[in-house]
Amino acid sequence: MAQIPTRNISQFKSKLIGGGARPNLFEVNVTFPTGVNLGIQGDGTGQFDTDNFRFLCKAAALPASTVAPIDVPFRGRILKVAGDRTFDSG
Amino acid sequence: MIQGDGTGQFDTDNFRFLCKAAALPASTVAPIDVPFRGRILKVAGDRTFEVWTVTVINDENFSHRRAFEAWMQNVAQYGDSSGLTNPSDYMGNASVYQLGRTAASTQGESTTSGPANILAQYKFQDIFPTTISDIPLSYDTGDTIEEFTVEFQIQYFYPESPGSGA
Repeated sequence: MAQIPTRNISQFKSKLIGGGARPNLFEVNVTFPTGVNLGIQGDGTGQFDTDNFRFLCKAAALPASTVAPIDVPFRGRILKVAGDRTFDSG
Repeated sequence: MIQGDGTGQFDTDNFRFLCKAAALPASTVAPIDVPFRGRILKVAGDRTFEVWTVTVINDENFSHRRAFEAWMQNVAQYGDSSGLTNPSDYMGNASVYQLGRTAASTQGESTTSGPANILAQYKFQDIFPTTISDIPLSYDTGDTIEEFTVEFQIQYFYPESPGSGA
């Protein structure tokens, strides 16, 4: 019977660099457009408090990446080639 | 085992460990209904292939997420619609193996260093990623390691003789 090298948990440990990335360790930075007047909002200066936002943004996502396939029929089979990239809302 | 990331090197050995979920592929041949005097004769239509999805553990180097993002970046750039035009330049291959349990020794000692038996093996031909999932981030999420999924479009797959190319 065909065989493949056994991988054990010690090898897995050596491959899991940094113990794996953690989803609760993140920070978000938003650059507001300068044309937006926040008035009394923000930090009282009319500026968006970017530093405060880094703390209070409690959930976000590393963005998905999508390239739609194009189906090209050929004699009863479908050749799939790459289409255009789309971006989901954040 | 996935090859052809379009950027040169892909850590195939590492991926064997960090790919935490995949699927032995489904196989579908659509039926064609041919009406005949109030009955339906079903004959075989065309074969179609579903996307193949793998789930990958995200390490602190983002090793595989960056590799798959680079692969997709070669297929379709972020800022414009340019990209590789020759399908052979951005399509790779992959294989999935069903492993058996390693046989125990006759003395009753487990054999942890011996090779594992390959029970079945499928090869995916000319694949390329079309979706790399997002990774949700939240202060609420504890005791979890990040993971993401990659959807591959496949032209077709076929069962291989166990051990070929392993």
